[in-house]
Amino acid sequence: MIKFIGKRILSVLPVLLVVSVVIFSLVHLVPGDPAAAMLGDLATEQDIAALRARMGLDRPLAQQYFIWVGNLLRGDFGVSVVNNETVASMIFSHIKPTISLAIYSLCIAACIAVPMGMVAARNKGSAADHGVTAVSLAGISLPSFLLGLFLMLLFGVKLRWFPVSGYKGLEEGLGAHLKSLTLPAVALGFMNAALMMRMTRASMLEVLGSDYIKMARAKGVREFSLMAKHAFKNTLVTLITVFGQSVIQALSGAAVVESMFAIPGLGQLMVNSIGRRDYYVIQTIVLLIAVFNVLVNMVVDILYGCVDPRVRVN
Amino acid sequence: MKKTYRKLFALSIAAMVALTGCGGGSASPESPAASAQAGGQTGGTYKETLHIAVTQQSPSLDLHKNSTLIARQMCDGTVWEKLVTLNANAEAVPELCESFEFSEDSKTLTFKLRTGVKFHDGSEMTSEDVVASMNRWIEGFSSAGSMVGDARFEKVDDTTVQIVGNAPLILLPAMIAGSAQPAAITTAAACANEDDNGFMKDYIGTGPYKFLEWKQDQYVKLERFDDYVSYGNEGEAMDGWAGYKGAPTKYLEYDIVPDQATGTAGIEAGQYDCIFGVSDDDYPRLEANGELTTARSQAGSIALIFNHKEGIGAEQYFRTAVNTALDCDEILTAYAGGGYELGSCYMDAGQPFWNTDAGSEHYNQKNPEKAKEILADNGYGGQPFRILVASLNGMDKMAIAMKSELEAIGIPVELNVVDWATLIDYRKDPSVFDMYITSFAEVPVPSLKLYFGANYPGWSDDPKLAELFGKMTGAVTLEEAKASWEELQGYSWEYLPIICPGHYMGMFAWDKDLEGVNMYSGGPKFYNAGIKTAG
Repeated sequence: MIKFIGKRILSVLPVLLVVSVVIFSLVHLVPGDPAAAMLGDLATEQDIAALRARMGLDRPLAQQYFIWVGNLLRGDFGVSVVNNETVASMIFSHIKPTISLAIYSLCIAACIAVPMGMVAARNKGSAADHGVTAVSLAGISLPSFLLGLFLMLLFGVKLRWFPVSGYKGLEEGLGAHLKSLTLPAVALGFMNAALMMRMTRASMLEVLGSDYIKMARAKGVREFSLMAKHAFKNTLVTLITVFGQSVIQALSGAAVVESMFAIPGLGQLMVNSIGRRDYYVIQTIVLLIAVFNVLVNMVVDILYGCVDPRVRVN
Repeated sequence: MKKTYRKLFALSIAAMVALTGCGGGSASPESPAASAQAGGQTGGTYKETLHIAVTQQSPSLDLHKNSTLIARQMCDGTVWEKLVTLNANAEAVPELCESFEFSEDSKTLTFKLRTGVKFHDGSEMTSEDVVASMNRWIEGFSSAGSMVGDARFEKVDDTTVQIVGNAPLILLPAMIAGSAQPAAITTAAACANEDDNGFMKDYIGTGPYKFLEWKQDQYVKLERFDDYVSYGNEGEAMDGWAGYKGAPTKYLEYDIVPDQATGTAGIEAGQYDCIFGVSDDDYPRLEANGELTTARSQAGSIALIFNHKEGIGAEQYFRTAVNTALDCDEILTAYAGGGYELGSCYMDAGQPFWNTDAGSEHYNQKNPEKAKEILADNGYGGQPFRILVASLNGMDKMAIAMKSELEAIGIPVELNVVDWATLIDYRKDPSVFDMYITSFAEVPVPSLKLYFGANYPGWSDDPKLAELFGKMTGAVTLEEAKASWEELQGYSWEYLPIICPGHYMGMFAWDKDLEGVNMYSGGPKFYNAGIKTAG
């Protein structure tokens, strides 16, 4: 197992190297100037040129790349060219809301999707099954921003159960924290829930049709035990795959929901940084997402082996 | 089995409700009971914190070196004060000085400072602080640097500072008071303490609110400065930005809410006390909401800037034909719906002293037939007209409307729609556009209209334009400068360094119980604003 993990970590290095070159090139080749973005639209060319020089943006691109990579290898992610804060501290402060939002949305997704998928499979062809299929179709088809607006209007403006926007950190209390994240988490989690629901239903149907389930039923195993212990366990491999994808999506693709609900997470930081051409921040976030993808996939591979003894990671 | 599922479902819902507290149905996430002792002009107690939703944040609150509007909206007059500020006529009047005077030739400007003014760090304002601040401002703000040349502020005595220019400085006080980079007064130590980008690290002003906290992408929080030394008399109405500031509210929190629709929903839900940047679509709904007050004011002007260096835009006849054809009402409707006002004056309504209708006969002619004649008479060969525009605030929609109008008179238009950062970059290259579209926030004096300068992208390098501009900036009295400005604007509508189709509006909404909002120029200021909870 350790050898497997070691190999996977080593395989990340060339990926990161390629990602670093690509993202650095893309970011610097896109027109736009952080100095101009910082100084505002009434700044003169002299002011902008002076700030560019101060930021080191007048150096050759290759030199800027090697400085960045050299600093990365020393654990220095650089300093935001816009607000002079270290990129590490910016990412640290912005990743907390994103992680909270991702966990919350995945919990909501899993809590809705797994039981509903199981119920639908257990009662195939029933009204419940059709209902679950309709809900999952709606979830897949409805963009998160549209659902977010509906939720905002209903639960924020009309009923006033939840704040329309804004973020409360954990230090302000778990209740306030969850309350500020509930609407965005539902908006983000609904699509994942839909996908998980469909996958749960499909794998459950497959398992329920297998011989060993029929045998268990014939032996008089109770229905709950049959579903939870015998059938559900065998759908886990599929669910772990979907869950892994959802984790990546929730962590790297929450930009729209974060912007809409004014959640100061990584997605919003990324969008803002692109707008102001904050090179180091954009590059580091993209690298982080690449690392994260690899890590999640590695964890998923390991979990396959844990839930299904037939799968051996080595 | 069904019962077990039901139990699990019920338990999970109950847990969620308990954790989030959503069963309470409270109207606001913050307790409205919180109140603070009023320091304002009307007495009583006020809601402790005003939540103001803004759509963007600034890279820095250092106004000496940063021209973003939002930084001024948050801090100018609130955290930072200047030697002079603007009255409702856009004239410079004392703020941190007792008085100021010019020499006869207007080349020497002397400020007599107020005494006993406290900085937010507790120290008292000295002439050394003022000299350091003013000179840092001059060095950080090119327009000021261009005006004063090598001249710098110097201490005359403990309560007097002076600058001696090589040319008249008659427009300098208004620039100090209200330009895009106003001359905020801070301590000499704060001036010297800069980050790697050259911005001030500490925000130590003299205003009624001190900087408390900035959580990136969340909020900027200001706290009432209890040792604030105001001037003017309590209860007197402000004249523009000048007058008594009472700071009745303890905290001003500017919440960063990038999405306009979210801000609108937030004020309807009672989560925010004021929102900036109301969209034209939402404005009528908020206006009809009895719980809210809405306000709109001219926030700046649109500029369609020709490339005078190369390409078809450099041809006088072509610029005239474009200006003759345009229906400004139509293109501004495409841009902002109802959020605009027509007007030929380059200066905005907030600067009545500088308002003039010179050249208005050339404005908004909407005469395509005449435009076609001009093109035909000058042998226009059908070269494409390349418009560079950002997909920002409806500017791209305005460009589409222009394209339709110009193609109707036989000008093929190529639109290049990019994001704002790209536009700022592309406009430096004269080979990639014939016109670009931008906007200019309000400025206190016309000398800050950068497009008159030959170095500003657009490069309107015309001797007569330069001569008239020099005449205005070199005037010895404001009246002379005003006369020159009228001449300049009149000529400008013929030469067309830009076409100014009109003015865009800033639109705002706030709780109907919020009193004392100052709406003079550039958006609401809250130094006298509060929501009374008692008394």
